[in-house]
Amino acid sequence: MDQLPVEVIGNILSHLRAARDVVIASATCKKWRQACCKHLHTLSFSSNDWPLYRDLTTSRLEILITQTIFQTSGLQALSILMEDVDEFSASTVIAWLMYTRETLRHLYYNVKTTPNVNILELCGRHKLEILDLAHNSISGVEPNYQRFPCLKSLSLSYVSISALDLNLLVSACPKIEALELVNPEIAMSDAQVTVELSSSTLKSVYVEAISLDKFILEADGIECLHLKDCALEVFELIGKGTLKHFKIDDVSVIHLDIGETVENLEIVDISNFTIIWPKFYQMISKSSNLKRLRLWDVMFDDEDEVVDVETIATCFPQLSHLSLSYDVRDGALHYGLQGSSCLENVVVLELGWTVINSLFSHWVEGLLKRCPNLKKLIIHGVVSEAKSEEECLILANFTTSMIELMRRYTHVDPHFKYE
Amino acid sequence: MELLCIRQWISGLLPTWLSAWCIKPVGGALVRQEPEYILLALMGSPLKKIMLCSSEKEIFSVEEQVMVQHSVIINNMIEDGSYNHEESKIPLDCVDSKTLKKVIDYCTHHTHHHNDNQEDLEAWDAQFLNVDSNGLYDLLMAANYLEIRNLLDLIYGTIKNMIKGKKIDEIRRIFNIKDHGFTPEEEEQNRKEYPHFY
Repeated sequence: MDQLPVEVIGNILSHLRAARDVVIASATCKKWRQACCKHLHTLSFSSNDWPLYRDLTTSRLEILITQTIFQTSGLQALSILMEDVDEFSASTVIAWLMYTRETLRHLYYNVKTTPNVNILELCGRHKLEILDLAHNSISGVEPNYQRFPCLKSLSLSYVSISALDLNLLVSACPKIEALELVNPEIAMSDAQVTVELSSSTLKSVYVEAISLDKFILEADGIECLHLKDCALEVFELIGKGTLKHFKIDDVSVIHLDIGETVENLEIVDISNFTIIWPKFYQMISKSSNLKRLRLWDVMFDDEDEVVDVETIATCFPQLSHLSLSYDVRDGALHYGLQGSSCLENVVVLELGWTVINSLFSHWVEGLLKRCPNLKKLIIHGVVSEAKSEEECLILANFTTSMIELMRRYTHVDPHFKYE
Repeated sequence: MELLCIRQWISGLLPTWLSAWCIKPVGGALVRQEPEYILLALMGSPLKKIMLCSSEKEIFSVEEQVMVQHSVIINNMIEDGSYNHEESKIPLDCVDSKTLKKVIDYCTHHTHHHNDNQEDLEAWDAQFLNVDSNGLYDLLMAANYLEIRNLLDLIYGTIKNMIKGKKIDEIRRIFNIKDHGFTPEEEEQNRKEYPHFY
């Protein structure tokens, strides 16, 4: 152990991450103390790491963090994630950031700072590549003389920012690849709240809990788009058809447009959504490379609409994973299973119900017939707390028919998940 | 089927190829090789081997592709042409034979089994690191020198678990740190400031 060079010990201490462990390790011996002072590159103060952080007053905690940070040099990743702290004082936070900004590449910070500190402005212009910010605000973005040349990944949670500043901010990051917006407080300048983001380098966008009139995303290189828990009137993606992974979960949007060219789509995941099937189908019908399709807890705008297997089989020959969960009705069952085209490449089939009905097992059987190379079948079921006699009967019949079915399809591996 | 057909095909073509490519005699006589290997050698196959020499001057022959995939140092050596396949061996003066063998083992397994599922790989890694402290440090030094990222991260993770949550005296025991190097005043100061860390 004495033979290990001090840089290697620095790496070991950096892997420890948690400040308490690092401080303890550095008091073990002089060499480790030296490693901590000169070769530590990662440090984390997280309320999850050490319950005793909660017993300290905020000022005491500020002093502890300051002392620990100031004993290091060349810190590259700093993480301050404190759940129980109301706010840190601006002067202290400024001191931490000014001390580390020359070398800092990753910053994770979620404590409100009073008065507000423009964290991005303070340290974003140096080497910062990843910024995960929460409970702060960003204002006064001036892309003409404020650029964040190394920023690749930006995550803003519960951050106050105006729509205009958000637009300017993305354009001030020439290398940005990943953007995450969670519950932003978007200040409105006029009646209509519009967010327009434009970046040729953005690859991945995740938006959660946002409520806007219009969201326009112009991203020529985008590969992954995920919207969750959003209320939008209009969402438009303008790109060059590079989108590979598209996921919507619990979103209400009146007008959704992901562009004309969708040939590169590989994964489409829609859940808790009301679909206008013909319109939706038109949107993805040209995605012949689609590998995974998931329509979960979806409702159809028109009660007579049905997702039919024939269409899926002909449009998506490369499909390997199919997941469907919606209310299966009589007409839907019959019309949906019409035709004879098979889903040749589907190896995993997931089917679910929220309210079980007697048609479900027929639906499972019908789909099993159309997947000749199936390896795994997963049934997701919701079992209500107050089980009526009728429900118990249907569940029993379902179990019986599943056993009969699996006797015939011995090459399929069944799994059941009930909640 | 394959090997037999290739053999017949090659033995038909062999005379033509030998003259066309002017196979250099080794050690004064044309070495008799199995036809398959001649064909593969001519194609520059992934079975190309390189020689690594431990501090105890023991030579280990390993597939070039395996080491190039894992070790940044070896990859750079091969790429910039400073390694001559015919003649040289790579001297690794700070890695002893026992450790070098283990390192080669790790790289070979991970190249050949990279498609295995995560659990199996993790179980193999855990078994691989089931060594005593000295062995662990030797592996760490070797992985650091050869710049083998995934092995380094694995070892760092293991050592981190040995330190995490422990108190200072415990850590000193585990890592056999007999002389902490602080002056008596410094040590006393530390104990006063952070009594519960000891």
